[in-house]
Amino acid sequence: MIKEEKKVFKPNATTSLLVQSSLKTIRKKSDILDLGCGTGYVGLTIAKNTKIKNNYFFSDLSKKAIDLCKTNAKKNGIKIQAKTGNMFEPWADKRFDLIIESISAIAKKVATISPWYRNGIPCDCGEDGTDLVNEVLNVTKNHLKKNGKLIFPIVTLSNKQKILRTANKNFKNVKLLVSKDWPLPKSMYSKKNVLEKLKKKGVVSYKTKYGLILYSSEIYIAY
Amino acid sequence: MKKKPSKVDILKIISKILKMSPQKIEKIDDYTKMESWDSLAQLDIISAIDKKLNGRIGKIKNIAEIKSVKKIISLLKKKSLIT
Repeated sequence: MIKEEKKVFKPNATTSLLVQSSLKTIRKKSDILDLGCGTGYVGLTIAKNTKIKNNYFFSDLSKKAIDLCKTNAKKNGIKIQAKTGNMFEPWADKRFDLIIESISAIAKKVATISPWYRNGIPCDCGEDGTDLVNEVLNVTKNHLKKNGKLIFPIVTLSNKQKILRTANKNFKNVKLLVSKDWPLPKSMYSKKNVLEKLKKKGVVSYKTKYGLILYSSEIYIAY
Repeated sequence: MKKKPSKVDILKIISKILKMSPQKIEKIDDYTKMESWDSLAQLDIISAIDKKLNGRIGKIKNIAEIKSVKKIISLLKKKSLIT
């Protein structure tokens, strides 16, 4: 149902967790922003799977992503507002009940050895993967209505503690909704030494179990 | 005392995850060649078997390297983890 394109980040396992967590959070009609929407998978899947008539807003830095998101919305018969722009730039005067942040965040060196950011898909989230997320966390409150909430993912292939510190600095409540382990793609095992060095520096965290390297996706809610 | 899991129990676990009948599953030499196999399915299989064995799968070294269902069953039997 959701079309993908080479240069637009493909929905992955973390994205699905984000959808499930968001669906459980929405209890009344809301203005929902899918920030860093890519194909629009998160917001559109929510729209398809809830009976609540929410208003859906999408934005992404990539025009290609926004065009694709609009196409996907049309294909699925979902009315949306989608704008191209950096962070909250397209929504200067707008406030939302729920902001779902789907901006990619893994450490730069991990991104370069991973299969997720190929074919020109950007991952400019800094050496430890926190730049974009922390930027979002620092300004999100200005774009939330009273009692508004932010849902955001942390992949442990970024500096989780640094992201959580920023979240706790900006929000009274930061709660873990769900956490799931994923096996590292086999293609990354040959670059295990890169991961080990980053782990030693505290930039990433992962565990080894059953002879597999497992990283985690964690979904948090902040309000 | 809790009954030891059987070969059938293990086949059921794998067949549920790979969405294939236990009869077909048993004949697979390399389940990485299956369409429904990916690294997540592999983790799901190992975790589910480990749960069934009450966390004793660690007795089998390099379990993640074994791709043949027959071999998994035979190793579990050899270690007396299943009947």
